[in-house]
Amino acid sequence: MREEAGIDSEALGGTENGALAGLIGRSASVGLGIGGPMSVSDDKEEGAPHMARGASSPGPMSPSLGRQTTINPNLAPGTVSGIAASESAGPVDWDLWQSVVYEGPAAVARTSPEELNQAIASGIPQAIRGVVWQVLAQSKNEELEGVYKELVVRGTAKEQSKYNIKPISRHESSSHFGGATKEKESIKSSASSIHSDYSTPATTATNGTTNAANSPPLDAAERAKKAREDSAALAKLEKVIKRDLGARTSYSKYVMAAGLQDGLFGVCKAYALFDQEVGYAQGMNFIAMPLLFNMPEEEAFCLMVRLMNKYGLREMFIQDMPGLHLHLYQFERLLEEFDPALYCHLHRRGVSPQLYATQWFLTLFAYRFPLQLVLRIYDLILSEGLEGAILKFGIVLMQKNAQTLLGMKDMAALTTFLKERLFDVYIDKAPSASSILDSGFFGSAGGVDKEVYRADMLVQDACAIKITPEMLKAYTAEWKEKQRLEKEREIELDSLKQLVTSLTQKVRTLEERAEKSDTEHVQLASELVKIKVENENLSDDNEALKSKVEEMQKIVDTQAEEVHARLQGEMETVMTRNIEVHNENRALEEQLQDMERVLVETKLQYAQVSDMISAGLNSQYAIEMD
Amino acid sequence: MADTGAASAPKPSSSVKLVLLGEAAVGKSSLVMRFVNNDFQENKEPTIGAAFLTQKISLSTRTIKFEIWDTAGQERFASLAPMYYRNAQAALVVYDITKPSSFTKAQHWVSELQRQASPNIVIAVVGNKADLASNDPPPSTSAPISDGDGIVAVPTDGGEGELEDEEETIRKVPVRTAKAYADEEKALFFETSAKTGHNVAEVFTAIANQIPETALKGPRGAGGAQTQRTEERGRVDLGVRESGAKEGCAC
Repeated sequence: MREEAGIDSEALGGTENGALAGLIGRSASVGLGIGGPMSVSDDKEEGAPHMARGASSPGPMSPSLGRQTTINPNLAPGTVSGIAASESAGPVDWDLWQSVVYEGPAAVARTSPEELNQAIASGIPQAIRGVVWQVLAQSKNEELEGVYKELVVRGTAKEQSKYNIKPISRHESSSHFGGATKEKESIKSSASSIHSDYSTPATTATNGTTNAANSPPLDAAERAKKAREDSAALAKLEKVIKRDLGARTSYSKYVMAAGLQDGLFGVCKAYALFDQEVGYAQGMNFIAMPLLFNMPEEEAFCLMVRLMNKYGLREMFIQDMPGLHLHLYQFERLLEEFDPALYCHLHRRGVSPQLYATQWFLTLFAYRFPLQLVLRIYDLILSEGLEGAILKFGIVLMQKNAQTLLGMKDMAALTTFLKERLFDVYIDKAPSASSILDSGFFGSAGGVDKEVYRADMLVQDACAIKITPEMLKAYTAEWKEKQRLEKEREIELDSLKQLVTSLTQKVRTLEERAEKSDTEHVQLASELVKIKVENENLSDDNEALKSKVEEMQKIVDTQAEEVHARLQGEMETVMTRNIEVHNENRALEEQLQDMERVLVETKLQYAQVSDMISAGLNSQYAIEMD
Repeated sequence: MADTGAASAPKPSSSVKLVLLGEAAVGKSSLVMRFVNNDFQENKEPTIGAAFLTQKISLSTRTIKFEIWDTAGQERFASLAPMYYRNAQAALVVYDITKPSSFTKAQHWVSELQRQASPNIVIAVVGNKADLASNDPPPSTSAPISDGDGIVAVPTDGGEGELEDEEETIRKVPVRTAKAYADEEKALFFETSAKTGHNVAEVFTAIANQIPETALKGPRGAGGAQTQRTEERGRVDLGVRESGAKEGCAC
């Protein structure tokens, strides 16, 4: 390949004239493309410290570019498609790319914005894609590359030797960096954002490590413990990342991917350590792969940092993923606006963007989409910004598939199609000879896509979608309002839940009390009934007794009279009897008196008689004697 | 079997929304793939967001169409989960029998479901990768869970099995511990292997049988709506009773 590149650079003059487009061997033109700017650069270098910053020579760039030429044939379809695409749109404007690389996209955008947009839309030439990406993102940062190299070896034996020099080299490079920035700013004010964007995370990381390194008063045991904890956490992190390598990430079918696994591991690990708040999240590995296809790992890391911080990717990966939710919401609203029928259709079947677009956004479409398309998506993301680009691609893919999707009724079929088949509409059914060649359809090594995709058309369609910043702003505001309301509702719900539990508690105690009262009540009622019944019985008894008493009274009353009468009668009889007896008695007494008188008379008569007898006897006796 | 179900059987068919939860890389997607496609793929790429699949199973009296929501396991994606378990009638909480931390995570999921999901949700605790412990000695000492989240830690029940070669056993979560936990939570329990297919269909069948008949009303989401309705009714009842009690209290 290097030979090829060499041969091509001989034809450099032709390239500049646009004759390049006529070349059939694309990989050859790649070499040429690199050769072009590099050799021309010598005289322009002073004016372009931006790219050569820190190195002050094209040295650091050439290896990376050289490497790309070497690996090109392995990059089966997508990687070369940029050029294939550019053919249909017209010859590659190497002059333009050259000035993009050396003067920066901002400068080019000032002088010829149309051409730049056109050029990006029709695909960055594969050979310089990695470089242009970094230029677009202004991600090239040697200090950060140094940070990468330190982070990537953390926990390994290599770290020990580096550990001592680290703070010093840090310091040096950061001041250097500052100087470079100033210099750059004086030349290109529009590119100034690079400094502020990098310095924030970078300095925090620097401070963190410097502190750790510069605090000898820390107790040795404590430090050992901390070190052990750190290394355990590091080992865990590495294990988690390693698990997601290889077949568990994107584009593993490409032969070249196998050689990039170390780089992928390095980028993921370094980023996780660099930005502890984000750490490692699944999805990053998918995003890193297309980067690694186009640049060395330390540059991929810098670009990743840039994507995270400047492009807002970080918001999608931090805890709770607010960025993701925002983009999903924006996407849903945009879909509603651009294709209401499709929106309704999906909505009615419960197929929300959360279900299919999460993986698009979190992996920047690299989860399932063919590399040919993903690289072009990356082109647009890096040049236009992440939010707009991913939403445009999302919407355009939905629109292009609207008919198919409207014909599907089954939720499972819909989601599967949305994840796996959406890009099929861009299959080139009759690829031209050169695009087949480019896609690596014939011969080139490695597993390949069976299809050639019309990436140009995808990008064109996406660019035609008019998503204005105002729309996005409105939707963002809407979403924020929704979030706020939701949070409020959540809080309300929480308090209501608490209320409900306390009320339930109350209800339960009240219920218990009521139950107790109920049983008491029942008891009382039954007692009452019993008492009533008893009462009735008693009153009956009472009545009976009363009547009895009355009867008795009557009896008593009548009896008294009777008795009285009888008594009186008896008394009377007794009295009369008494009188009778009395009378009898008196009569008897009289009789007795009479009889006594009789007796006395008799006695007197008797005495008289006896005297007379005695006197007569005496006379008689006397007579006789006589 | 999946697609013929509707055509051949006039049995009542109903949809059941099922969600899979569990730590990253315990084999959630693999279980689904085994169940839906009877296929297994080593080193499957991680699920980003969620996946949706359906599969029918035929019971003796009815046909059940599972609408399976397979979620991403990584901690970072936890904030997406409620969206998927909302209104779910069944949940598969999966752990890896060789990874104690995944069992702890499973317990977290179970308690979250009990707190946040529909009250009648059928939960199955599933220990996957049972093939890794194929010549499994009886449950023995196992690695303790160091995270100590205050839930049930895998006990270091020394003495029970008295096996010296604990180093060699790959299993880290004893069947007994997991089963006891599942029983306590009134959840189904299975050990499965997505790789060999062991017990995979059984889990889903058991869940299907466990779904209360009342929760099944026609296809698509009606069941979920119904549970919601009953829930609401419950709330209304509560209110009425509460006010009644208050009246009672007042007089």
